[in-house]
Amino acid sequence: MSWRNGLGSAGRSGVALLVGLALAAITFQAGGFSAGGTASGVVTGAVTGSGSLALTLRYALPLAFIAIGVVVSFRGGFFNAGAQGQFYAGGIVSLYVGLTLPTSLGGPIVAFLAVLAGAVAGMVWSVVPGMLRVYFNVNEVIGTLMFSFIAEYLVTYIAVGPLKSSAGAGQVAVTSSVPAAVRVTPASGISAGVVLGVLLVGAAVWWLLRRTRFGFEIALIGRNPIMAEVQGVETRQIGLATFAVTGFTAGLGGAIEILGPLGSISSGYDPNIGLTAILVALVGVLAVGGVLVAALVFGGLTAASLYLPIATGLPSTSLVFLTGLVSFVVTAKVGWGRWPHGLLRRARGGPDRHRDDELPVPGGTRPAGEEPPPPAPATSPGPVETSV
Amino acid sequence: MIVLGCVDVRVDFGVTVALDGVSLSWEQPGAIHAVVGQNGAGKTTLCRVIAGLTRAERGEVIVEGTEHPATAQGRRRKGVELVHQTFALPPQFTVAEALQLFRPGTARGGMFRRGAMERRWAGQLEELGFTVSPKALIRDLAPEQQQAVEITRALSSGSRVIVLDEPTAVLPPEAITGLFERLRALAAQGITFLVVMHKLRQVRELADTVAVLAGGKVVLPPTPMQTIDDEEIARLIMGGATEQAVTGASAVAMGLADAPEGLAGVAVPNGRQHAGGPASASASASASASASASASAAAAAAAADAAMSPLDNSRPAAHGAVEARDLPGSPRSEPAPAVLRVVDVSVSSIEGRRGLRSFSVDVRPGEIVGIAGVEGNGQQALVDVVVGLLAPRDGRVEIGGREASGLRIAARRRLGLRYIPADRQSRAVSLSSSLWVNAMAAPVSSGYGVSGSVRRGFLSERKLRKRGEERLERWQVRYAGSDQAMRELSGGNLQRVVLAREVDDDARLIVAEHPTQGLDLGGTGLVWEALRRARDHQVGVLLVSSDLDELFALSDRIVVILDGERVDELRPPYDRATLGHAMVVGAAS
Repeated sequence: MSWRNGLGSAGRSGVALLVGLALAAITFQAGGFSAGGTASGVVTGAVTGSGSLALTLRYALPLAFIAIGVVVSFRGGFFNAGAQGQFYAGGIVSLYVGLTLPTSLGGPIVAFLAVLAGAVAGMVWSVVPGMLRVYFNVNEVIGTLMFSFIAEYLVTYIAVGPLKSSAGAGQVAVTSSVPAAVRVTPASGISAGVVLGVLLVGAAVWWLLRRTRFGFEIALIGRNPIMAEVQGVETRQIGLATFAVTGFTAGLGGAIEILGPLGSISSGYDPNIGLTAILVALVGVLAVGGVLVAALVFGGLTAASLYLPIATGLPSTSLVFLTGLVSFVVTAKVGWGRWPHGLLRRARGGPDRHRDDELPVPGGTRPAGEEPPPPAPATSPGPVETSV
Repeated sequence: MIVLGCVDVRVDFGVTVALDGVSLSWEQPGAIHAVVGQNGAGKTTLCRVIAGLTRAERGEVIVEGTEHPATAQGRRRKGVELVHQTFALPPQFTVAEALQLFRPGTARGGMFRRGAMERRWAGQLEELGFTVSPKALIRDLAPEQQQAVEITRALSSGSRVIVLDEPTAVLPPEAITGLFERLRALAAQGITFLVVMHKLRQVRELADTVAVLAGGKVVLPPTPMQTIDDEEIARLIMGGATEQAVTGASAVAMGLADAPEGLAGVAVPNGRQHAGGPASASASASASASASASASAAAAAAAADAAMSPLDNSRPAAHGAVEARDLPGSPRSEPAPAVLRVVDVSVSSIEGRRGLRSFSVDVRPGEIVGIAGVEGNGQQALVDVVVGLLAPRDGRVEIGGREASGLRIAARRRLGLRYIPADRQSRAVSLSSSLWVNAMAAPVSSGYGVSGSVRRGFLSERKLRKRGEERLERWQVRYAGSDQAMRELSGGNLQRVVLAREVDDDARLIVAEHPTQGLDLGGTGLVWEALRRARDHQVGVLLVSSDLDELFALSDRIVVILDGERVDELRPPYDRATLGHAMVVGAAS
């Protein structure tokens, strides 16, 4: 991508974010909460408050892991919407391995194996719906979301079943906790290793996209799958590989969350992180650098949502509303270039419009097909301007 | 009384004239009248004007003795119904719903009773002898059943005149007989049909009269079938270029004679020197500086030389035969082993694409083999089978002497297969990708011609881009920067990018599918020269085209495809009448 294009998309992303926040402020004001107070509450909760930055980073790290992988799928035009499930799968398996392997092997070694196992589990959780997509043309959104539901029930199963501990109270069952030696972060959720991990994964994915044939082919498929196939791209294999990468990093995210700040899984654990990560990927204009920035922004919003109820009396679920608005605006941004054009064409195409296939129309008599739009539902990875 | 007709109808689409002062009249009611002509002759436009769907610049349409101005803003004309080439029924509707749509009756105050509606249409369908359940969904119907619904719908309006636009195009052969019987039965009841068709055999079988359109003009007014023979009709369809045989050589001359003004428009001064874009490029002196009004065939050759010169330099000694090779059209001493062999390939027909029936064709190195046929007779399937997009049901494909049936596209490309697709925007280029990515897409993906820039799957973007730019400049693509998006290029320039990718040093077999469709004369000249040059460098070319001038100008021989079968093979000197006859009727002898 030329840096100018990149800046342009990033700028639009920033504008969308600001518009979303402004809309939220107006709504809060109308609902009887002070918009100014909310704004300052967000800043305090995410940045200036004591310990706020640490909290922001703590929530940004898993988001970044997942979103970096999501970028790969989306660039290939595959709307892998199941990051949540892949995150769960990574968390569950890393917890299992972390609890099962004897600590006598050495804490870091067990931790490494557990994180790796989690990543592989996330990969499997993504590749299965990926195979349904590339071999049987099952819509990947349906497939990956369904797998997320399965994973969600597995979370409950593992919490009330094989790994159950006596720590649970009332209706909530909790698994045993991973011993401290196996943890990748302290309770704060931040460690040099994990931060380094995000940067490494980010660098690896950047390199994959920009410096390998694989990345070149992903971009071809994402932009025009038919053309890619004609050029000799093995579209199925490449598509499947994008699912694998996305699942791998989402699994990593789950592993560092469970082996990090949480240490255990409780029934009903639902951080709603998968969809937020998709948003992070889109706001980050499907570029690794952009994703890292966007992850910090959304990590900050999450941190602020813990603080907002104290500062302004807003319910913490107002964050869901806020991210909803932002996603709305971000995806509407995609439409700026497209919708009006399409609408105009449709408006002009009255009954007088020729469907004539035998006219010597300048530029070719075949239908001047636009490139197929990326297979995306509500939120589309669409024409975010990236290029190899 | 004139049952159907039009007077001095003219239709323009932008700068192109689709119908030019067309006057036609059919007087015999209860008969089947055929209109034939090449693609682009204006047949479909005529149908649409008659049905009131396309507004004419001037003229009148006569339906059952009543004159209507043809210039009225598009509105369905009463008394005449059009059955489209591709059916316009909503696929998720039931048959009864589709028939009811926009029709009065059953519905009262916007409400309708499904039962009553279905009974109504069941009766209608039965009356016409169609065995289609009114409860069936449109999308579950076979093409002939969908057509039956369309015809039922057309007749239910009370219209006595029905226009059918290529009714046989989507039907399997066995269904065609049924359709013909039904049309004849309806005609006997006094319904008048106007039918657009491609195949003379079918016209002969069905129609009472035939009229011929060519280039938007009437070249044969409605004439009883008994009074005209197939040869005459074929001759008129092909543009009346008649007995005059077009030899390979004179066709070449024809192509070059066309070239000058076109080349003046495209021949950019030597692209290798430009860095800042067309402005600086135009300053450099080169062969095509002379590409002004006086540009000649020599300029065309010079431009092509510039374009292909790297080929000359880099072609290894193994291809030393290049110089010795005879000019196109002259007899060849010994047949070289084929670079492409398609042997008894069969492909099933699916909706929208005709299959192949035991089709065979060979292409030898240094030979252009044209595939001629009316569109939709299996050309697409042939191309897809050779390229590797479609697995044949039966038969085999060999590329460069190797069995290729099981090979993926990348492997075929490594054997030297190149493909210039007809559908540029979807198959040939990625509009949102950059120029250099488009130029290098196949080499990177299939793994050839990228030495130094791709190693074991790792690529150097800088080197790759440089290689891409070399290709672009070799073909004199006009661009500002190679990271420009493809969609910013014009049609001719865009095709140059495709040539830059597909006509390279490693090419052994080029499949060119309507390679000049939509291009102006200059672009056409460049493509022709590229293919001729490739042939001169011992590349085999399979040329699928519906442009007879192009086939005549380039082909060393022409294989005629009809209904998925190989029906004839022609060699120069070519003759339009013979080819036309073969395309619509089958083998001449």
